[in-house]
Amino acid sequence: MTHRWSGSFRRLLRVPRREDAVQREIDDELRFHVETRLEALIAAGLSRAAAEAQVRREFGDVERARSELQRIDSASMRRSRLAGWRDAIGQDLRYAFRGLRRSPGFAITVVLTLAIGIGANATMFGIVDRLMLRAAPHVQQAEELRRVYYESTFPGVGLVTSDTRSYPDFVDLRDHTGAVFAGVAARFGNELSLGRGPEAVPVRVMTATASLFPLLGVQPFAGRFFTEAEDQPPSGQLVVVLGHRFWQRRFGGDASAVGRSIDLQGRSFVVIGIAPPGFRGIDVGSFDLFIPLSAAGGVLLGNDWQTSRRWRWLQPFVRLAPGVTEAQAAEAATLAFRRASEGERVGQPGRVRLASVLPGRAPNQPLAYRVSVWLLGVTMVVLAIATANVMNLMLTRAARRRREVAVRLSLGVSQARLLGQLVTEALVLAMLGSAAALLLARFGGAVLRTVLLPDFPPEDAIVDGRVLLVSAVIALCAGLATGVVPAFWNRQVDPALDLRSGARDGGYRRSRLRGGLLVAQASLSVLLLAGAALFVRSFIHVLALDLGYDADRVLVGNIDLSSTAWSAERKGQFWDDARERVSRLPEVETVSLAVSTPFWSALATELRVDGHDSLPPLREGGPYINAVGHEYFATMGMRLTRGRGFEPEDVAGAPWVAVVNETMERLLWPGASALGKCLYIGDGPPACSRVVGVVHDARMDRLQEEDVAQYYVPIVQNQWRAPALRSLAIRPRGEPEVVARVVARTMQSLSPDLPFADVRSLQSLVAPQQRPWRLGAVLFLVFGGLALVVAAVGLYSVVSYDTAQRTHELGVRAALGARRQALVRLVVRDGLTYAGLGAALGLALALALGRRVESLLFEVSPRDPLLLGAAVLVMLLVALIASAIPAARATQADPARALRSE
Amino acid sequence: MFRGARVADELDLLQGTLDLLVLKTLSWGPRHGYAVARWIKESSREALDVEDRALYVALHRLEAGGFIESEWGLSENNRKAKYYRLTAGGRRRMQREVQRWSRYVDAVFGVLQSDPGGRSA
Repeated sequence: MTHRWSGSFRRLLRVPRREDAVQREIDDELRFHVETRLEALIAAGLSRAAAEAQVRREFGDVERARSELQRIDSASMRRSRLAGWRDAIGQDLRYAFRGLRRSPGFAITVVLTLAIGIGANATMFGIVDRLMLRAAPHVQQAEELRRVYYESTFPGVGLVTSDTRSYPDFVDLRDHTGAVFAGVAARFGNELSLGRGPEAVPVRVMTATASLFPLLGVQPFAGRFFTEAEDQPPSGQLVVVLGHRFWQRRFGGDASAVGRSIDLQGRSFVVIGIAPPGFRGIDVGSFDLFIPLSAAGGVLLGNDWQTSRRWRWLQPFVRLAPGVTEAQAAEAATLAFRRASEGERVGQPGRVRLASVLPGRAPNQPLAYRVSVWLLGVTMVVLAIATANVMNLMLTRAARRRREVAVRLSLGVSQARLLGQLVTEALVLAMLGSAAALLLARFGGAVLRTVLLPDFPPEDAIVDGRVLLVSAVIALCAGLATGVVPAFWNRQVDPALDLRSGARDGGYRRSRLRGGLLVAQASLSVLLLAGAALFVRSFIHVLALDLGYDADRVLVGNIDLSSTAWSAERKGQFWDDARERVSRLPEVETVSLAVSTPFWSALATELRVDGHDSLPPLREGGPYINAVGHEYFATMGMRLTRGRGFEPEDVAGAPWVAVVNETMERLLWPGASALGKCLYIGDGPPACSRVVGVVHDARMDRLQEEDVAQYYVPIVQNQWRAPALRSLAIRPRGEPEVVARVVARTMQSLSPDLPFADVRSLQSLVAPQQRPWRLGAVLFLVFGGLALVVAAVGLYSVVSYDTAQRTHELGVRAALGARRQALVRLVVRDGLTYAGLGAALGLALALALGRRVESLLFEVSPRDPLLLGAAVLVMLLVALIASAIPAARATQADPARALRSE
Repeated sequence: MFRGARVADELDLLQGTLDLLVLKTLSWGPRHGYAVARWIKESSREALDVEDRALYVALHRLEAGGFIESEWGLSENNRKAKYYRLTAGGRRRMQREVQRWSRYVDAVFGVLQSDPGGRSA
């Protein structure tokens, strides 16, 4: 009977079978209705067909009813399920907070540990993200932009990659590459002089093609950017776009700045617009002004700037046309590059490489960036240590709560619920840790930026949305890891057993998992300590490096006379006057003219010596020449090895003399003395400049350079028609910074036409090169120290817990006559075993990774046994202290009491 | 005329009314959907020709809203049937609706039975 009705119900409804619980209930309900009604109607005398028709009419659209009911019931079921979860989560959260309030020491330790781990990560991620992974502000579709790199092979030197080219090279790139690029632009950045005479100040100027702005897709803040029509060689319009910060600083944010004029490099530029805040092209640095390339070319480089391939000053970059691959574009650019360099080609034909504009993808990463990436790795290790530590604390806590867990289990709380509660607690801790971490990152990051990363864009905060997101994800992972592992460990709880076992909370047992975590922490700490030792040693080496002069006791003074309309004689006269005036300042001990300045400029010219057809090629180039005054060596603090320096008597009419450095002597006259030998300088008729002295080697422009051959001639003797380049080397009497300002003012006051004078300590030219090592040393030390503290806290808490569990055992031993020291040794031995195992592992890791950091170190071997040994020793010492304290405390207990407490 | 007017497609209009009828029907004790349907039809002497579909929609909606709750039980003819029962919230709502409905009906009747000439219909 039922079967038959069921069939007619199905026929009536035309329903497919569905395995949906909600739908099944609905169908059951409707089937009951339909069948009961059919029975009633048939009983009342209707034929089967008539009954079915009537039911259909009474009921209405059955299919529609089914779907409507399905919708209502599903929604309501979802709602009630959500409400259930909400209640459970709320309950877990309350339970978690209650539990943490009951053990504030535990909560604080965990939160601080996580704050250190997550905070270090957030800070370094923020820095690396800003420096390397992100396009500059206001740049649209940065993924289509490419920097252009030129690779050429030179005999004796090898592969040279450069990202700067001449203007004609830029034109080739723009006009002879077909349609592979949607846009081509080039830029050059330098300091120019704003204003003239004593009031002149330096400003950071970006010189760019008009195509820069449309290429990047940037819109002006006010006014407009310059156009192609204003950027036509050989001399474009004298127009300028102000940087937003410069406009605020200089014009107080006054909109009427547009249309006014400013004096730049001795010429009047009309302000046509203001760039949006933070705009800096595709670069990391910041700029005050933006001017057309063709307006600057002539001013900066003379008349041949647009035809000469000698001036390689421009950084070109491009936007790929839609559908063009990077390889195709590079191929087209390479053809244009080779076409142009056909005539002057030396060695292998060069090629063009394109690379993303994101600094993190550049082929030639600055040292500071590479160090930053390593430091990000270091913070991840710190996080791993912190996580391991928290996991350990959670395990210890879980072990302490075994009885509680057993009680709850026996009261019928489900395993899943219990797991949920433990994970909730861990997540709450992780989130609290993450909040503390962001505070840490905010303040730590600000300090870090001002002290170690002056390149960092000043507008940018370190903590932003991306950093928030990353730290939230880290916190979530850490919370899950530290919650789930102990929770699963707790699943082994057998309520019956744990309730029976009495006061000792499941009895003392060593956990292999906890031991493993301790070993892991110790090994990673040793790894970081080893890294810190290597970087600190490198930095000490860098600081102690003998530059060959007293960098911190020497000022260098430069002034760019190209903006004056002076003749060569007038310029020479100016420099003689400047030297004379500065030498009379009471703040100045000695002063000397020089053509080039270390860490600033270097020049080479033709040189021949007797006995050599041609000079051997040198990896660092050269030999480099400098023409200097007779006070130069004393002023710079350079030491003569043999012979004499220059004397006031070495004047134009006197016999020509020269001084070479030790490397040059060794190179040209191996095993012999250079004194008395002849140098033939320049390509004029050969005339002997006799070597009268040998001077100690000095670094020329890099800390990490091989020895460079350098020689010196008196600036007054004119063996070498040095370009009209002059600078002053000054040895101040007082505080160098103060004297630098006095000297600059003195130089600028010599004529009302002068641009700003750049006077600074030689140390300030060297410092940027020391910065990466400073960064590495300071941060490795900070993170290594943090890791050590975290590991020590971990060891301490585990040993404390273990000894507390062993009170009974230790009491028995003491009662049987064991001496206190023996007991302490017993406990400490455990702690040291973990630390020792970890140290061995960490040492192996450090040795394995050492080769990877070798290029970042300065004259330190990554396998230096002393430094690695020190790292291990520090770890063991800390472990000793961390386990001796709880051991001493535990063994102080009265054995009788310990035994009675059972 | 009422008889021919299928109210099924005017659910929006009648939703409140139908809900009220269902709540009232259940106020005498738990019933399954079929019983509710029959009761409404019979007690209105078949004047309210509500589609059964609309009735079930009302039942399920009221259940989702927490005004009634359901339980599977055995029917008079020994078949599995879903029984609905009024909750405390449902009882409150019913009382409220009954009051409002009476006031409404009184008001409408007041208008319908008034006469400008003062004569009573």
